[in-house]
Amino acid sequence: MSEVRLQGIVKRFGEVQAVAGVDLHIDSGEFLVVLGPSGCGKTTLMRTIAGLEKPEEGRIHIGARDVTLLPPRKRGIAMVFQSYALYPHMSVAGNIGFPLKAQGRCPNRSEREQRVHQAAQMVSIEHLLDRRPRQLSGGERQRVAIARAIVSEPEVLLLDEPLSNLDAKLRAYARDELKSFQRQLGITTVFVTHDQIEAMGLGDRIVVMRDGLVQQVGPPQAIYDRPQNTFVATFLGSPGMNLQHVSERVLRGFRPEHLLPVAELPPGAEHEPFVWRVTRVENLGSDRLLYGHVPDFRGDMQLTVARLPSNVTTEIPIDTDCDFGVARQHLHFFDNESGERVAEAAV
Amino acid sequence: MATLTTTPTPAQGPRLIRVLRGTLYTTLVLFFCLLASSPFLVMGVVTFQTDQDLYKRGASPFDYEDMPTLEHLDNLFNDTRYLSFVRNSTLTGIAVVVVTLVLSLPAAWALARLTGRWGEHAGILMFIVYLVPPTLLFIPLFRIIVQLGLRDSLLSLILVYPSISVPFSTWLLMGFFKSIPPELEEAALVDGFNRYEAFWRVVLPLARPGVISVVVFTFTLTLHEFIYSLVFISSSEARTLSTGVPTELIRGDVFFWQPLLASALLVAIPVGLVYNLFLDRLVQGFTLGAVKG
Amino acid sequence: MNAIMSRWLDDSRLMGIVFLAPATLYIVLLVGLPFITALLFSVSTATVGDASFNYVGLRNFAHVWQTPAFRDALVNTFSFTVVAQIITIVLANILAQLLTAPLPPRRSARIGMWIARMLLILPWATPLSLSVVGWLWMFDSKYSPIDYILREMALLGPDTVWGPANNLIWLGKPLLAKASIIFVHVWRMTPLATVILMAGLSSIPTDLLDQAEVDGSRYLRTLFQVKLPLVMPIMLISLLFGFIFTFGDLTVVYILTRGGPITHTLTLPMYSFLVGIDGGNLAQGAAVSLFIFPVLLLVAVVLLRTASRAEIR
Repeated sequence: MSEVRLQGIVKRFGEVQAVAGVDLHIDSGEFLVVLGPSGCGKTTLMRTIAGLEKPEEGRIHIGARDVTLLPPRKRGIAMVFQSYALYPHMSVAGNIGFPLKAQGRCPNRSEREQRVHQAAQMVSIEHLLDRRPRQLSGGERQRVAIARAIVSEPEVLLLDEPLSNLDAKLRAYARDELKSFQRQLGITTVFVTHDQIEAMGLGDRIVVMRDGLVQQVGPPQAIYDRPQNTFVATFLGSPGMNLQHVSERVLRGFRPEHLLPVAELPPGAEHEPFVWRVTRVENLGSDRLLYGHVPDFRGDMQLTVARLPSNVTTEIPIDTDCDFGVARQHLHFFDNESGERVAEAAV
Repeated sequence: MATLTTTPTPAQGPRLIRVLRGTLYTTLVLFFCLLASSPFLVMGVVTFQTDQDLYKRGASPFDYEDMPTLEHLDNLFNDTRYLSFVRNSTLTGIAVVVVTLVLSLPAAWALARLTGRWGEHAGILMFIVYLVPPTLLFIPLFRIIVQLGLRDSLLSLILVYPSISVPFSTWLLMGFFKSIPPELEEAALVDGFNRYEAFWRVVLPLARPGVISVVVFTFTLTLHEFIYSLVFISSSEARTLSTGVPTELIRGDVFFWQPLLASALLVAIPVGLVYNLFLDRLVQGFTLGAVKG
Repeated sequence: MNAIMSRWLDDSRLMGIVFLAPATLYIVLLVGLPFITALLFSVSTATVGDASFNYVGLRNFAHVWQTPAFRDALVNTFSFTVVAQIITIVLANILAQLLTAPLPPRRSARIGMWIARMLLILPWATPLSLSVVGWLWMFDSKYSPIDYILREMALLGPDTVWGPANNLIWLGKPLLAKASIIFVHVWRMTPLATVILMAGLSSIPTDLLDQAEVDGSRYLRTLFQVKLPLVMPIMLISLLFGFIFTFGDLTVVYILTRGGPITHTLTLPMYSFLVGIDGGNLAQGAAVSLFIFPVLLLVAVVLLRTASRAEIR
């Protein structure tokens, strides 16, 4: 279990900078989630840590070792690919045992079999050891991939969207299992995903990336509560944060769940009054989404969304002005030009 | 957030090893290239050598002591039946291509779409028929050709060659047809075409790359074929390239080496170019079905 | 009337039959019928001049089997084919590895690879009867360029390892003639085997190769334990083609040696041609060529079954 340090990592493919200078410190035993839209460089970053890509610039340390120039087999890492990349011609046992054979770390056959068995047991697939990958379900394949990753006791575990091939029900279950499993092993883990629910639910910390650059690093709640810029603000949360021009220079933001009928606002809290016309209501069962347009400081209409939990039963009339409000503490301000967060005082 | 520290990552591995590896790679590739093309390179040299140069014992066969000469090419075109071989091969090739397309296009489509499980078996049967070598059938076919009075006629080849090209072409086209989504035909049916019109107007235009591969393959196959041509045709007028060159340009024990080798080279170069262009598609024909499942 | 017509035009079953019939009929007439004729010939006394059918049972087969030349042909056909296939598959694997290796991103490298591909493909693209004429010259008893190179390397000629003669006379000595014929078969089949293997290699998902690298596998282990098992079905297909092309080939032997010296390079197709066409004895010629059939059938069935059983994604 080692920490991982990335310093100034740059990876180019021809003209394109997939990773454009990333510094990152991953603590020993931490579960770090790299979150971002497709093409943001998150997978390239992970492949660089794995040693599948060599960075043009920068340094990578795992523990005390500089691994920048080392091939993957000398880095003490294991990786689970999105496709699971199980060897189709080997049995489950053969798949799990392959890293042990390849790294020559376990020349004794019976010891190897024992370790394969242990790894299989940890993800409860010991009854599948003789099967071929194509005879397995998606969930079972994922477990085999994880067993193969942990069998060589890596210092760092790299997971590239390992849950995206599972169906929605199984995914929630697999998430829970993966997290408790990682806690139990205490293994340093990097998890790449574009799914913010996975990121929020799994990460000790989240790294939000865009265009090859880190946008923000922090614990999930902190990132959600204090997004560093407009990209993070709108990428996290579903729907994302409402943003409104309040002047030429400043954007004001608030999350849909903080826009409430005045009667529902926490009593005593100072709030920003907000009169708007709801044009459409979507009932999702657990909550209601309200859509409407609100004029900005120039008078241009901007789409705004509110989310009311189901315990808020207030009748919302369509196309009628309603009195809503946002508690002052839930307002965020961003610079219009750079998108960076600014203090309210600057407004 | 991200600070840009520029620490260039040095190249991996010692330079010497990388250079050595590159040299080894190039040497190996060159060695194989030389091995593969050696007879053609020699053909290229011999074509322009004078008799004196060629038949000088002990001297290097790759040197020109005399001036290179075009005499043998001139000889090949004007004093031998080479051009007649070319014409016969071309005519046969075109006719066989037409017959092959007429037979294999509908068959391939039927096997790909319409006949279900039964079609699968028929597809495998096609493959097995393709594997039947001419050596197995040339004796009875010879008898049949004699009986039909087609001996020494190009018609004999035009009749028999599709037995090799149809199975392979059907096999290859099946792959193309399978990759055309059935929805396209169904849309055509909904639009008011009947099934035959849908095939003619929707499916065939989409299968054009497959058709082109079949044309290329079938034509070169007729160019390659040796046994049937050797057995069915014995008059020099009707000889094709593959048998005409080795039989007519060699008289008894007398070899006219320069025209002989020149004639081989003149066929090899264009066919090689065409194969290189269509390589991927030809390989598809050989590997289809092997990678499914 | 129109209604019936349009029902026919939309009947997909009928269309399947209509579309399949011509090709099927053609194959029955030109492959099935001759095959049966071959069977009939082989149990008769048919000659080129005599079309009458006299049933003689298996006498042709028995006669052929007792001919020493036939025995030679049988052994040669097998040994040429098997040895040629083994060498071909090894060379094709090496070549396929070379040609699928990552290239430096330079224009010159791409052009070089195109030329290499062109040269490597020539043996397969050129009509065999023409390229074998080229080899006839390469193996010439007096002017062989190969002999010249060997002489220059001081391997041939007076006072050398393979001397003292100035020429090896490739096609005149039994062992060398056999080797020459095997060599030409290898030369001819390797390009096809290589491109088939390359197609197989490029269909391996890159994730699997990345995974092998992450798992700590080095070049040779990845080659033998990941890549080769994954291309095995396709490799078997290429073996199948190679086996059948070589086994049934007449061209190489016909042009290079006609079976000689004596019967040292005689093969079944060559012997069948000599007996059936040159000798005019259709019955015995057919009997000889029929020996090819069960072998090919067996090889085809075995290889296709193994290929379809082998695991591939």
